[in-house]
Amino acid sequence: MTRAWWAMARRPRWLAGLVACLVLAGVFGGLAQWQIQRAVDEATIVEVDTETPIPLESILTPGDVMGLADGGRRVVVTVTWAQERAVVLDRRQGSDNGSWLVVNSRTSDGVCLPVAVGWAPAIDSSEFVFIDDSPSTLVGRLVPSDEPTTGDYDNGRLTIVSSADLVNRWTCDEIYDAFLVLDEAPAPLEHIQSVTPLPQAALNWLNIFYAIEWVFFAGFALYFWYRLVKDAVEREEDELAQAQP
Amino acid sequence: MAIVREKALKAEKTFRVAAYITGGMLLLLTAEMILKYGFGVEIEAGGPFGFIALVPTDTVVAINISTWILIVHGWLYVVYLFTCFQLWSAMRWPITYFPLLALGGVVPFLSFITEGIVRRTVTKAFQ
Repeated sequence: MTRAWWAMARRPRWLAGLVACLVLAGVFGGLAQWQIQRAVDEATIVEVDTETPIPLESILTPGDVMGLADGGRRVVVTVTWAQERAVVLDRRQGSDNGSWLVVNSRTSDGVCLPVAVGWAPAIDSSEFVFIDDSPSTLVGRLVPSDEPTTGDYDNGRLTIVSSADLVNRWTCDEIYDAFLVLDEAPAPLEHIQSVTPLPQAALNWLNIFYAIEWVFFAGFALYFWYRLVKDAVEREEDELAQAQP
Repeated sequence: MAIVREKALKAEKTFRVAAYITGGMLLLLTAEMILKYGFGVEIEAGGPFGFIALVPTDTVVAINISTWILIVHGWLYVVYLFTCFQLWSAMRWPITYFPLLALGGVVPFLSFITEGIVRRTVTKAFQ
């Protein structure tokens, strides 16, 4: 943008042109927003039944990361209790702070599955002995593992349920990258309050693309003004050159 | 600031290609709209009813060709608009010509007519 361009752009005629282009860009911006609004409004809600328990094996393979849509689904699984356990601190139950008792279990294939058994204000894990070593069928919500990096290890406190961490504490050849939150807790533990997962919404991509296009057009309206001013400058220079042969 | 012949002719060629593509896409889009709002069906590819199938609106489970036609047409229109601008700028046409060119990609069949007029106008300008 040369000095001559700026001089031309400042003329009332072109300032008016700028206002017109800005209004046009504003209208296009508004249309972009309208399309985004539509994309959200018309988002298809993907209804998934998360409450009827389905076999764990049908939604998660050992070693795989849980699909986003499967987080919090109720599952049923048959396991044998292992005696290994962990007490996870800083677990809220409503407004109360407390701990979870997390116990190791093994599926019939020998894969470890951490089970969050229940909540209490304070837990002495040695109080609990799972003497029943015959297979038991458990029902609960399947929750993806916490990221191992989010724990409070610096202070020597276990505050997360992470298979990547538990696999080092327990004897496991293979472990699910998820844990089961048991529906019913053995006394004196309280059952862990878990929430029904919210339905997933799929955005309407057509409207998202249209919104991006309107943003393009808005930018284009401003470029248009820039070009018109530039053309006007060149036209004037030409006329000047012709007037002085 | 004089019209540069080569530049203008090149811009006209690019515009012609874009006009045909946009015009073709627009006809596809019109056909799709008639199917959707006239007959209540959408085009599905690779679904349970075969490679290409017509299924009732909002029941598409595989690739929704109808939606893709809309998306592709939208972006091709952006390209078309750009070629309009290039040509309009190269030909030093009055500002009122631009919306007329832009309209070609929105009204079915119009792009073929405007393309013909544009070609004649450009050819005449360089005779």
